[in-house]
Amino acid sequence: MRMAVAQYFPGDSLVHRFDPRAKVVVVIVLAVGLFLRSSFAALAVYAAVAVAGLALSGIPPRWVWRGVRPLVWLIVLTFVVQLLFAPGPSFFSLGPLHLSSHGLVVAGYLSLRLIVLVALSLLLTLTTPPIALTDALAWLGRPLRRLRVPTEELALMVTIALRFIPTLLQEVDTIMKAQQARGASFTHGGPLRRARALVPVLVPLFILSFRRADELALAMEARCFVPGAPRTRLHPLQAHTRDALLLVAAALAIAIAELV
Amino acid sequence: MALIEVTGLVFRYAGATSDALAGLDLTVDEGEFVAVVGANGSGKSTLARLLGGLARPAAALEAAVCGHDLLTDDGHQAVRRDVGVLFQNPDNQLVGATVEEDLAFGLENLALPPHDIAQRVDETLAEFDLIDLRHREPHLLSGGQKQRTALAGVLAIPRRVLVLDEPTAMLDPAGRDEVLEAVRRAAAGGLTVVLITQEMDEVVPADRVVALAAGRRVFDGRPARLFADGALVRDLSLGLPPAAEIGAGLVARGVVSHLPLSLDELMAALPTPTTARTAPGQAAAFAPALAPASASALAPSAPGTPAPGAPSPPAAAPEGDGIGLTCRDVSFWYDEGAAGVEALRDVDLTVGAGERLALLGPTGSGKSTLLQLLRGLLAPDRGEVLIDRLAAADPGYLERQRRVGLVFQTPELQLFASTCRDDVAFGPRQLGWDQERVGRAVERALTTVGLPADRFGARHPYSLSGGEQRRLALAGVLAMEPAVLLLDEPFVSLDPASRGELDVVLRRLVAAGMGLVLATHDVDRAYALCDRRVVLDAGRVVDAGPWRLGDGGEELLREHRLRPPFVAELWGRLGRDASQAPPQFADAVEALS
Repeated sequence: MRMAVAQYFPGDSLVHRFDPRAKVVVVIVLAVGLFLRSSFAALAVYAAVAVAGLALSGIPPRWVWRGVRPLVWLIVLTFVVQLLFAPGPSFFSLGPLHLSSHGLVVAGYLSLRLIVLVALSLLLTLTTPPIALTDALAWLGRPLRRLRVPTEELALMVTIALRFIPTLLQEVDTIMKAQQARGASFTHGGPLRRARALVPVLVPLFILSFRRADELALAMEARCFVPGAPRTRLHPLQAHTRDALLLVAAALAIAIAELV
Repeated sequence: MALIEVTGLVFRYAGATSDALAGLDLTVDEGEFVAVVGANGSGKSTLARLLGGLARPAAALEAAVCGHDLLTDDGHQAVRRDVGVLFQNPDNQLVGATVEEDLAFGLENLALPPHDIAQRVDETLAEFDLIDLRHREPHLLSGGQKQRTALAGVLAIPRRVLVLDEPTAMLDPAGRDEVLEAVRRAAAGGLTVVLITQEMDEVVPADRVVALAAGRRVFDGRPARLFADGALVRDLSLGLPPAAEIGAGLVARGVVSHLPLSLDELMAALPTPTTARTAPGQAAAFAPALAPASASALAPSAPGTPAPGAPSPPAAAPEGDGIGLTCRDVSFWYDEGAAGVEALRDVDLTVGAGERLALLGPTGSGKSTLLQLLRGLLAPDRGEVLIDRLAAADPGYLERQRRVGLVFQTPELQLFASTCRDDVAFGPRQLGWDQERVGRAVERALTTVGLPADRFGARHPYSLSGGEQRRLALAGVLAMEPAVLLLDEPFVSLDPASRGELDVVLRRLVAAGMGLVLATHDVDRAYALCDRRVVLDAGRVVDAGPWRLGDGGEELLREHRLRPPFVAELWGRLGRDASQAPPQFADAVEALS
């Protein structure tokens, strides 16, 4: 059972200690910068930032690879599509396929840019606990409360959902195995048969999830939770000087990328 | 001073046809420890919700809890501040991403300043011995740790009353002790405790026990008085603590004069050569109340005696020969987190055809994983698992694998069809049997588990009681006509009556020659059903073979956070040969008379 999304990698590095709000802002700003200027030199600057960040974070390369792996197909697909369909004089033809040197450059550039983008977002998700991330997003989304968007409640919802993902995965696994023990097969037959084979998994899963939602709501109310009422936090977000420096550094990186 | 003072409490769930609480009366004084018992559906959980202000009574003559009136809007909200409620399933109560965050949740809801929250969280962590676990994620905790965290989360907000709704139903004995100890400590600090439970030995230390039936109070008094009333115990489908079960038989025979509730009391009550026997006339005073009732009062949970109203047709004998299972040097890792988690290491195990083997071990020792490996649902990372000496690749393996029936823990959660018949037919249909054969197999399986097709076949599985659902799920596996049954904690979170009924079914299957691998924490039942046992701990087989009672077997179980069979402890204390301790309580009564 493996999480499809990149998991938090516990640590105490400088990257881990930055305020999550600063990290979210920096990653968004760098991503925008990455798309603003298309040159290999600029790309190299952003790649250097990502590599430096990952190195500072002390995350083992194996974990970074685990985060990249699900996206490998997207990267390969980008490369192939650009390679085959980019315009320009071709240096190699086979039937309807034309490869151009321009296509090769564009394909290489776009795939590399995608890799850098993935690396930057991994830097955020690997070094920030999901709760801190949701808190940061809730804080950054505060202006939306003027529009009556219940950002605090949404953040709590996401936090709880995150907390239950491992439990839910364990449950799916158990139910599937139990039905397999009764002869169910999830890998045989055509798509229709396979979809039908999921009924004995989905029905119990839904019932279980509804029951859980009900019990969870009770347990939350029993601990004095009132929807919409003001709450405080054990660990309120706190910005330090280093976070300001992080923002300055990000601005510098963008400036350099724009100038080279 | 009475903290809880309710009379004529009425509550009905939306869409229900009868009242869950139908005029309930309850008084609890400050500092009291009150146990609440009753069969499934008697209104216990509803009571917990109402006392905690989580639902509002439909009506009541009086409903005062900690000075709040539950009937008013403000009152039933405000009472949540003073009354903490802990529920059965810890997984559905933990909100925080870590233990520490979870403890903070209630305090955050009270909008306390962060500094105060942090201070109270620290205090609570220390109080519940959770400091080392403060940054642990809930899904990585053991069952006992989870429930202890949930309890700490409830009590992080200072409370006056703690209501516990079957808090140990899903825990192993070690986890149970862990949680009960935490509750005891909280109670010693002056907290008023209302403990709803199905475990009769948890009732024994209570100041008072209140029994519910059909939403009303039918008994209120000292635990000893309740258990001594055999007729009432039977009518309410309650069980007895093991000592009282044997004690009731002895009282009826005039061997002891009053009902013992614990092993110590039983020891004290039993006549020793130096003390005089109870005068016959004195014993007879108890006999009328107990003699007719004792046999059936024992029944709901006494190993070996049929439960009242339990089905009694002959069980389907497994067709063909038995099936033997072998593990050779098996290791298994779960692929989780940064590194694999070792679940089993170098397991060697043989289950002979038709043999009954108990699989004992604390939660997380690898019992469930081993059962899944034996059924071929998981493939070992090292070593091999053989069914009738055949490996997965050998011809004939699949046909034999079909005859290894695996019943998961709480299998009723996997019911999905809209009729009982359809659900049980799922397995046989997957095997590609013709309709007639499927029909026959379903009919037979339903009869075996005591849910005859003519009465239950067309009913919706979710309209059945908890115990019936459990047996229906068992039927779903039996319908595939296994020769050996692998059972994962079959008795967990059932009420005593349902446990007794399931016990009867298993006993009947065993009598018909069914092989059994029984993973359970219920050592008394395991001892009654199985002739050999395997002790697993931390993924290793610690010992496999005969029970070795009186020969280090008890110590071995204790070392691995398990309890020895009650009769073995009793025999040991009596200075008798524990290896001869009778597996059936009825035989123990016989031997002591």
